[in-house]
Amino acid sequence: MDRRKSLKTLLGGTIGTAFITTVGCDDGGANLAPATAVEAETEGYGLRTAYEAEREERLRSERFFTDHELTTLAVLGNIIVPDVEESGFTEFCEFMAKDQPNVHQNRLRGGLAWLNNESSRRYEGKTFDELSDEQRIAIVDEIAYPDPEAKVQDPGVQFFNHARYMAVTCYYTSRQGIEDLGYVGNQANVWDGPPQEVLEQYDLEYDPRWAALYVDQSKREEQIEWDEKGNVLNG
Amino acid sequence: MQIKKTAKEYDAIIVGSGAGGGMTARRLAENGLNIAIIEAGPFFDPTDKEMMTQLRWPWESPRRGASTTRPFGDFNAAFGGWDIPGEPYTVAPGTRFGWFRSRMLGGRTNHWGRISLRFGPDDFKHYDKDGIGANWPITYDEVKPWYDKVDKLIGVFGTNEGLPNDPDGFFLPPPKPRLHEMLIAKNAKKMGVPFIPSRLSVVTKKVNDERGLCFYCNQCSRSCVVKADFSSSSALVIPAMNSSEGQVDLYTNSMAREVVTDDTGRATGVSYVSKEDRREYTIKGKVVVLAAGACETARLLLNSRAPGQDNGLGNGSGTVGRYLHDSTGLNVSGFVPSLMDRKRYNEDGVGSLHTYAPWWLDNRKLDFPRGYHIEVWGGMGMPSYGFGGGMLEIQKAVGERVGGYGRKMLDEMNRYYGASIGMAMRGESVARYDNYCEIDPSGKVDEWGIPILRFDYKWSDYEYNQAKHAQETLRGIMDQMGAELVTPMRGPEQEYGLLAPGEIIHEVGTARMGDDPKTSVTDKWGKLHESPNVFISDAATFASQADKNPTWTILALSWRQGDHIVEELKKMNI
Repeated sequence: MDRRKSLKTLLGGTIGTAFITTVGCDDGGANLAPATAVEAETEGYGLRTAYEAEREERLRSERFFTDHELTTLAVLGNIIVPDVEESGFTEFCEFMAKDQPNVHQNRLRGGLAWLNNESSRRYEGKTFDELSDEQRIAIVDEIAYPDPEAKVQDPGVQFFNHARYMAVTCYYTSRQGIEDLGYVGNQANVWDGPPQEVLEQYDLEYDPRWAALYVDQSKREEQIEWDEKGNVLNG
Repeated sequence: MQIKKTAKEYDAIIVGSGAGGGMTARRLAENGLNIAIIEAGPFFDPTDKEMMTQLRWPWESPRRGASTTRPFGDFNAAFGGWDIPGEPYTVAPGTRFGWFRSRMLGGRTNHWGRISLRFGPDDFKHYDKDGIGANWPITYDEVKPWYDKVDKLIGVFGTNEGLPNDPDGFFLPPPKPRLHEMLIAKNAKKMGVPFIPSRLSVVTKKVNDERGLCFYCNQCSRSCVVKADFSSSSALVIPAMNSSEGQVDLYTNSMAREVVTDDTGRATGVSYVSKEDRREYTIKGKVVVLAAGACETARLLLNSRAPGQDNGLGNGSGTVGRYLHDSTGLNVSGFVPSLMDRKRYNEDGVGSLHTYAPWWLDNRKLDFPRGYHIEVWGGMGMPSYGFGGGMLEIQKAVGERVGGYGRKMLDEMNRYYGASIGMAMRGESVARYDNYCEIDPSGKVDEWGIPILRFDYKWSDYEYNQAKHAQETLRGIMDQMGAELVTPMRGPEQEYGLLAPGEIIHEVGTARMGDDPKTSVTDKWGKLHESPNVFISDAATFASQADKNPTWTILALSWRQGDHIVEELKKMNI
């Protein structure tokens, strides 16, 4: 079938018919070669419904933070996670403030205002972005460490907690952060258990009851055969 | 081409394209029938790379995978969720229910964990064992041949254990366990809780020419581009559409409203509202199969009328919508300090757990009548929105100064990665007449003009006692492992941590099968007692849920039913 046509039907509902007749999109059988099947080819991030697509377009046409707020967020973000702006921090904050307004808008806007008020009070009317590095760190050090025993945290601590949450999530969901973390998945591979040295490190071994029953990955492409009781004959 | 009225009469009309509708469609098409499938959502083909969310990175989403519009995150393949704009439902005061719907080809088979468990002999005859609930009108031995066929067509990995109520099957070989799964199994064993290899419909070894092989990306919930997981769209509906035997017409974005009957109660077709022009249309068919999902199927019946059937089609017993029951569920998570500083390697594995614990105790010796199984999670998974959210609590638990910023904080974060684990109870609740859905008495309609559902569902002491037992068991295993930050014990005032009915998305029972038309809605084939040609092939017919996930039983029963419909049509009995 026409892939674009089906996609258009899906996203916009504009084709004018809900009727898809029998189609011949047979690809000639099973696709047993995942590496070729999974190359990223397309724009965007996969299928969206019409509702989602329209919603996102609307959010992108709106603007929440002022330029000065974004500048301040970038300065603070880069203190929380070095160079977090390279991970798209302010763009992420701007989008999330519109995507989940009840979660983020007042916390971030009000928190930034608190930060600037505090800067101004301490340093002759300056905003946070106008401070020297030492002055910024002096404020940050007072709000970056919540009292684990306190029932209610001070406003500055609450704001920093939220800003840190946003910076940490933004970083570790970016290419840079995932590399830093050492996550090495999200790619075609063949799982064959933890590395032997890891099993030894944790003093673990496979239960002998199942050791011989786990899939033999060298035979995975062989058609499965069973006896009449369901015992696998070819691992 | 707009089809307003089609003169064509189909051999069968199927409402819904999930597990039940997909299997029925495939069986009927392969037997040469001309069928129509009515699906409330859009077309979806997991193998279409333009639709694909599999293998995308979190930064490709502007919300980094957050669950703003999809409850299981931005890359989850299932559209919809517990709340769908324009399609509300209500709950009776003082009760809770969440109704998860996925409006799309394949329905909710696009997101699930692929845990594929046969029901056992006791599950079909629990009333005989303990006098609680209801028997099914069929036995395990009657269903077994269809379970076998489903295993061989779709593929499910596992091991034959010879367990009395967790039957053996035709399993593909299972993958080896992950590190945290081995640790949990080892510690659970010391507590007397045996774990075994899990049973998931993921193709670990070639099962047939239709399906691809798992490449271990952990993303079954995104629906697999090589068809190595079971999704109804790629494994059933699209093959049915490609079948050279029959003819399949798929009506997408079409919201079924009513089963249309003649003056004898015989169905003549189904009317639906097109979501594209908001007009109503009717399709004619010799047989109608409802597979819209247990609650949507009940809604359709309750919104349909036939002469002498003023309370809904097939509802002479008054039990349509009654006996609604979902699996019980609760979750316990924790942080395992001995797993800090892990060596990095790719442990994505299949889409969910590699090991689980089927119900291992005897309810006759306990203060609750039904069992549960235990699921596990953890490991070095791909970060998504929310990653790092537990940092302050972990710092406190391991004795670090709480808070911080900069490189030192990132180094701490990296040390904690892969050390969080969780376990879940998924159990059987008892079907009760008093738990039900009905047409909302306020007369409200959805945006398609269709009267909406109201739910009235409460857990009973059967479920509370089971949840208490599970809380104690899961926390005991956590303690045995030396886990910190274990989810606090929930007491009776918090319903022992039980999730709301509907949250496990295993709702069943709203048009249960039985031999007695006074207490059940369908016969043992899933045919309405009160209509000669209306069948139900989703989990509405379940007389009882088991401590298992329902999908494999939906598939076995819908295959069995599809073959029955073909035979009855041949014999001119329908």
